[in-house]
Amino acid sequence: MTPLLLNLRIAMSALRDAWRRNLLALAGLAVGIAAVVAMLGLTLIVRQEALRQFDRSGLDVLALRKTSTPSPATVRRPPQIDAAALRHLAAAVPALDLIAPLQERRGTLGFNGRTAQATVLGVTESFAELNALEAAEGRLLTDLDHAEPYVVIGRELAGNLRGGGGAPLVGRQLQVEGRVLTIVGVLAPARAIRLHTGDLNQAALVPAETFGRIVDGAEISVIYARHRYGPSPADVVAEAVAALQSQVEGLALQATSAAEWVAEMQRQLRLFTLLLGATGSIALVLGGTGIMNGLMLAVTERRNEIGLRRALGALRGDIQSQFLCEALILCGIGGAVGAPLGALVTRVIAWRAAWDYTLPLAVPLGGVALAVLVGVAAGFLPAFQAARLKPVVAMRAA
Amino acid sequence: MTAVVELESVSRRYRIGPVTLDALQEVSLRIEPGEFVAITGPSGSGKSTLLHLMGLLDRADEGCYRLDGRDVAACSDDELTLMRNRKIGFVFQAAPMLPRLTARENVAVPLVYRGVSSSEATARANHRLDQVGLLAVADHHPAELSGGQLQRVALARALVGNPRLILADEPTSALDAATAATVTALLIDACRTAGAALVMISHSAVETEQADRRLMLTAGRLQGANATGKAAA
Repeated sequence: MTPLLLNLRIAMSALRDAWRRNLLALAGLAVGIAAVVAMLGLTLIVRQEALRQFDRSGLDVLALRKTSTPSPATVRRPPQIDAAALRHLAAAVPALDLIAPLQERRGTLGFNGRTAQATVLGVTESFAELNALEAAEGRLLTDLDHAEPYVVIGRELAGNLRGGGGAPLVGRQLQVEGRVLTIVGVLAPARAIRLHTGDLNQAALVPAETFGRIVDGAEISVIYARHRYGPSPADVVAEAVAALQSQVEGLALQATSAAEWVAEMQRQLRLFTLLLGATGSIALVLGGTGIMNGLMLAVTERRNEIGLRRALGALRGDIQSQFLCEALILCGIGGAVGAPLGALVTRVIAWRAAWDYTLPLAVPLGGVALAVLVGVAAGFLPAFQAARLKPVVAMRAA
Repeated sequence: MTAVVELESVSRRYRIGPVTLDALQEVSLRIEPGEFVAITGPSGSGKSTLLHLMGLLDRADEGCYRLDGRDVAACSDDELTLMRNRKIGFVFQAAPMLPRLTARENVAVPLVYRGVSSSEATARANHRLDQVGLLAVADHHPAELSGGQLQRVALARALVGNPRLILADEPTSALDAATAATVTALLIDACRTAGAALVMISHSAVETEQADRRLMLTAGRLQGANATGKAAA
């Protein structure tokens, strides 16, 4: 047996004897480690999830949203984005390679004698391209449809119209705001670009000109656009806003680019990380303090043992390593419990939020390593105190 | 021949608040190898303090202490620990043990700290336990042993490293007469056969009568004509 093995032997036995006291400290530490692992895991997952959402449409997308800012008194009629303004936008900002104006209104649909409310979108072909839409049945709208009385419906809306049946919808008539349109297609499950706030699966899409005919006061409420790589998104946004405002007097726009959105999201993630980090740190400090307190108490209770071992030849370092050893074992157990617990919490949250669960092994392993660090920190003071005890206590205590 | 213990005008004071207590005052003592010295004295006379100093568990405030010819005043804490481990065997009054280790492991502890291999330490521990008649309970934990058995295990532990100096602090005070006689006999035998110096604090006339010298401590001062020389047997 070596002094280290002797320490390990005594450590295991001492920890077993004081398991009730250690259990509380262990629980605190395990919760702290779990919080840190969950924090790191969720941060990674959320970041991946956000980037995955932008993967489809890319970071080169921007949105120019018309705001409800009151028009200045000098403006005689409410500003409206028209076809001329869109043409000017395309010409003035050559960095834009795709422009998808969107008209949007909550409307009444009628089908088979039943009515329902749904979002009706007036779109161009570019909208489908920008959102990578695909048709599950029939076809998508094209610019050749102009003002044709056609409609393409989202997958969930189609399911509602079918009412549980499997009857084909393409070719059937759908009343939109009292006008009869022909269903030419049903969308495959769709996920709009992140900048679009509505659910395309529950929407009815009609050609832009058709939308103008069937909806009173129809207007372009938002323009989605994609720009070429190269120019900075902020510059492109500024140019686009300027181009539109030069054509439409009194037009107020709120511009958002995907890149800015991602930057903002990352700022929020940093805040989130900071918050979780603070929570985890507090739990770790509490757990570590609990372990330190337990060991300080053990040093007091085991003065005789310390003194006897010093009398028999244990160096200060041997005594120091005894208590460090106990702190490390405790924290190692805390880490071994807390890290999988944190991974489990991450998994549950990811499952509830429908995020892909991908937790690199380095995260729980990092949690265990952190627990070991806490062990060193928590064990240092008791170990130092134990090593400083004078061996004369052995004779006095004996 | 080099004396095992050489104390020259050693003093030790304790400060308790504003009060200074002279626990030992100018104690001089020389103990030769193989010599058995019994120390008696009333409570608080400084017996334990003297044993602590001789056992390198404490340091003197004044005077010189040479253990086996080496002045310990200049030694570092770790050096004192190593000397204690290699040269001194302790038998304490209450026979303190490491409760989580077996009797054999308790006996082997000094050898573990000396760096002796596991197999050799076990063999030597077994040998000493056999000498004190406790090989049969070598795997028992201290809680499973009687007071007399514990004291004999403590004796085996004190002897396992072949020390130059055995310090025994009232080793038989908690034992019945028969067990006390056995323990004392074992101590004296180790002293005589191994040539180790034995210093025993005792209030038992039966034990002190067997000593080469009987010294008395009173108020921190050593009394006795033979304090610095070996008495005739």
